[in-house]
Amino acid sequence: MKHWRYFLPLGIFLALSIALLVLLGQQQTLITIAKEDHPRPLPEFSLPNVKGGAPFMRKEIRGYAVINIAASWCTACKIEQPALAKLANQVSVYGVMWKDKPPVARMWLKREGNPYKKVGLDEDGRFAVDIGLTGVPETLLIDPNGMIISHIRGPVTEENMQTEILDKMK
Amino acid sequence: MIRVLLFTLLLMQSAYAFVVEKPLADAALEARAQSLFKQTRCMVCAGESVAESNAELAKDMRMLIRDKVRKGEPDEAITAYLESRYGEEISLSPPVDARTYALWLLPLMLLALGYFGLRPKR
Repeated sequence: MKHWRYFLPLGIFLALSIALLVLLGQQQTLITIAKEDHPRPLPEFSLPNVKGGAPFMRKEIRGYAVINIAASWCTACKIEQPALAKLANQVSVYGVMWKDKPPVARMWLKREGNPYKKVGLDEDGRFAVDIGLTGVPETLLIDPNGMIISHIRGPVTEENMQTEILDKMK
Repeated sequence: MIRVLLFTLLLMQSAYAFVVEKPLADAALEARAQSLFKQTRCMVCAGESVAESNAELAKDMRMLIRDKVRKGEPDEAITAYLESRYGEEISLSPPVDARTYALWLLPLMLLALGYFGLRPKR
């Protein structure tokens, strides 16, 4: 063909489309942020206690610890409760109720089993943005140096509990 | 009478739903905050910046950024803070480095290719 060059743009376009389709198709999740290879320090915080007692503070966290951010209005947070209860046998699990009201949060905790050592309340979401939350439920693993070394976005399952939490505590 | 009451109630509901965000008192600081909003991705939205989105998380981000601007933190520090929490994706302008040269240069290269490749022969 004489004017083959005219098909060059179309060819490039198709090649790019296919390459992007394949490459992006390999990506497992839509949001791949705050990767576990980028540990970051757990910021200072002091959150009101959902039960009304002493506040939940950063300085209480020692050794390996898990912070689970949940809300009473969140369905996926219910689903992960059995897994969290199991996890609580092996490591201190703290809770933070995000955008919640204390009475409702207390009722929810009672109903769902409350695996937490202590539960803080982040009513206005300041704590959430400080730790890089995108929604609930999300779960952080803190190491003895106070670094966030794991960040599970979505419910804790038997599987990610092993790979993202228990395996990283060695 | 009951209708008027119900209607008033309806208005009250919508008033609650629309909580106006308080801009910073200092106009120059607010302008800086606004420009940061435009550069910050709303992480739970599809391709929206924090400036455009009505998502809860976007509101919280605006609150956070305003707090930091008010405290006098420089733009770079705020951007670095956000990136340390949410990763590079939070920035709406990809950085120019070895990984992204192709991204930035490809359009120019294609333009050049188009020009030289399709230039009519004399």
